[in-house]
Amino acid sequence: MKALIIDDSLTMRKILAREVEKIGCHDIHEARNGQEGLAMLSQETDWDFVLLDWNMPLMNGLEFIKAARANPSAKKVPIIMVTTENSDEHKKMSLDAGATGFITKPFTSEDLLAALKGKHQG
Amino acid sequence: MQAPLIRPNVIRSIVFDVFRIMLKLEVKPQLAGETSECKGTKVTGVITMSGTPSSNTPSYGVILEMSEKLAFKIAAVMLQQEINEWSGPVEDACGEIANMIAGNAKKHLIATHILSMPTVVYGADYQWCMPHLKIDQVENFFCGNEPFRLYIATEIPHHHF
Repeated sequence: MKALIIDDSLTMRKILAREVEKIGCHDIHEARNGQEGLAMLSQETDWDFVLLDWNMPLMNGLEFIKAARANPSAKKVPIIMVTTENSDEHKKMSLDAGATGFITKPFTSEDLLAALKGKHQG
Repeated sequence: MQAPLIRPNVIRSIVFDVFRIMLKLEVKPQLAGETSECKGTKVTGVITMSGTPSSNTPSYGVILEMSEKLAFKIAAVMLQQEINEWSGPVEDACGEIANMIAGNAKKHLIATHILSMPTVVYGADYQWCMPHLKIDQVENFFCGNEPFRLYIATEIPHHHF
């Protein structure tokens, strides 16, 4: 499995990397913001999923989703938003923009696994 | 006495969940007679939240203040490594915990507000202030024997300046 983790926090990238390693994903790539993530997403085509923060400099998570979904090669890549934005409105905005899943921080390993399996949290 | 901005049991629940779920650390609220003031070297994580300029809604601040020892403990758990000195990754870990608490608190203030990036201060014998915000609520906790505090601040109305 190949994953792209996009979060401006080094700590969160490490935590998410550890979590996806638990499910057997060892090809893990990291980006510090949506802009960097978008560039990485475009450069390769065999992503299994993207884990994405909302609040980031340069390009936030919502902007990333919209831009990614406008790219034909990234249209079907699962994108899971992992964020502190826990209002129903934020969840709806993410899913309407094309996110595959939405989980809020703090999260458990089970929360993340359920989101990766395609079940929306909440 | 002014009512708290967020009900204390709600804030406690947020803090307990962040520490329990992300850090596997138990937290308890300060009891009457206990003091949870941080002495010596400490860490302060600040998150503000605001609406758009035209929204005419107040801004808020959520400030997490903890001892250096607790900050190192938190960072060690999050980074899965021994922590003995202050560094960029430790600062990031502390900021992220403050961010999680603030993000969850935001829903109980104004959910549509935008969170700032964390500001983290490390040192001893410093005082912090936010000129346009006033502290409206303070909640005190212990994690093990280490004290920490959560402050919630509200924007001072403009006509006061």
